[in-house]
Amino acid sequence: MNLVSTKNIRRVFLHKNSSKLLQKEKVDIVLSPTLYWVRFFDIPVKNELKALEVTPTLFEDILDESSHFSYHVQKVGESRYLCFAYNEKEILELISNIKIPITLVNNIYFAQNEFKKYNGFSNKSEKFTYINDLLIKVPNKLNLNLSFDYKVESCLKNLVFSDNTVSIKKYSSFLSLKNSYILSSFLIAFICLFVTEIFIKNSYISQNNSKVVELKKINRLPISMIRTEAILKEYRSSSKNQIRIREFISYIAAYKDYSSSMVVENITFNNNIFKMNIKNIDSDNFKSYLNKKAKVLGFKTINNISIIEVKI
Amino acid sequence: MNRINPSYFLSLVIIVFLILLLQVNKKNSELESSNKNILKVTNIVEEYKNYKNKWLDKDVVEKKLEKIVSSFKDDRVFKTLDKNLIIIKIESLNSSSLIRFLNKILNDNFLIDDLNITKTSVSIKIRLK
Repeated sequence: MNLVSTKNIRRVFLHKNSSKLLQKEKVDIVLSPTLYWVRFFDIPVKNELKALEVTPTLFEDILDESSHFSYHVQKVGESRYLCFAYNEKEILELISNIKIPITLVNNIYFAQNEFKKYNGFSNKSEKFTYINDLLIKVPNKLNLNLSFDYKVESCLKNLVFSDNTVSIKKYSSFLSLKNSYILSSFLIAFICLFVTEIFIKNSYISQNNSKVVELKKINRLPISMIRTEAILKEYRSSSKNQIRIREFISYIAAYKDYSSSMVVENITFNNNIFKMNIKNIDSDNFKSYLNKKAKVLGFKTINNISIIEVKI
Repeated sequence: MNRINPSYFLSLVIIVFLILLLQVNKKNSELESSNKNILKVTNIVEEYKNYKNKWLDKDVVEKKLEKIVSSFKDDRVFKTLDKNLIIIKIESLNSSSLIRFLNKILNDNFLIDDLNITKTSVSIKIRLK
């Protein structure tokens, strides 16, 4: 049964001398008896599938290389089968020669099954007739008195096609059908795996995002990371400055090791500037000592008291 | 005969496969970046908490100061509390007491804004913000 409408599908009788069609719409093709071998066989098997298995050996006596042929079997009676042998490559070449894209081929039929309601028909100079239920081409030299005069074109228009279509591998043999299905299955399995992985990873990412929001909320961090970074930068700078203050005071105190007579009168610190009044020190020595750690802004000595201003 | 061309089907499957492969790679880098981000945020949170709790928490700073002040009962200690500032001053004729006080302040996490050391007093402004 066709799911798509077969109305208005052009019908073509394919034979070895078919002319070019330049077809752009779908076609049904009927194979001339010259394109296949057909015989009745009594095969003691129950179904067509089993019969198909032995069919190649039954054609061995008439086909040179039976392995190059494809076979089709129809059950016509108890253990009686109508067997077809056809060369797919030859049929595909002929279809290609008449310029019909293979993708436009709707169905292919054996003329044997389709012209039963006519005793026979003619195509140009060729004549075909049923003898012992087999449609055969009448040899030109054989002068048979045939009682019909049906043209193949008119017959084709009135045909009601049977369900017996010819199975032809229409597609490239670059990758066999079986292999393409195996590869597709393999890829589909990976696709399923990938989809699952994407879902799992999305879930992890979403969990991480929620965790980040929660962390910020619990610790009262600003929502914006830029703002947080700016605050932290300020804190780091502040912390570094505090360490510098402590290190400088420790540095001043350490000078007592060089000058035990040093007396600190006063030290004030504000806006990163230390102001100091120190007694009993060697001004030059102390100034060069300070210069190692900070920038001396002012240094004067009055009455043995050095008044110093330093920026750390 | 009306079935889909297997090569078309295979091509479609390959395209979907490649798109999903790219998506998986993209998700991998997104997850990696998300994991790095969470690690970064955790570190930032720790650092932020550290600064906030140790240096800027008013209650914590006050408690630490109280503890320091309590060990100088013999000296005169003045404390002024503001919203974002604590001013603490110690007056003593004993210089070792002043040095001990200064050491305790400097060895702890206080944000010193202003400092005034004389022979008889140490005055410090501690910032809370």
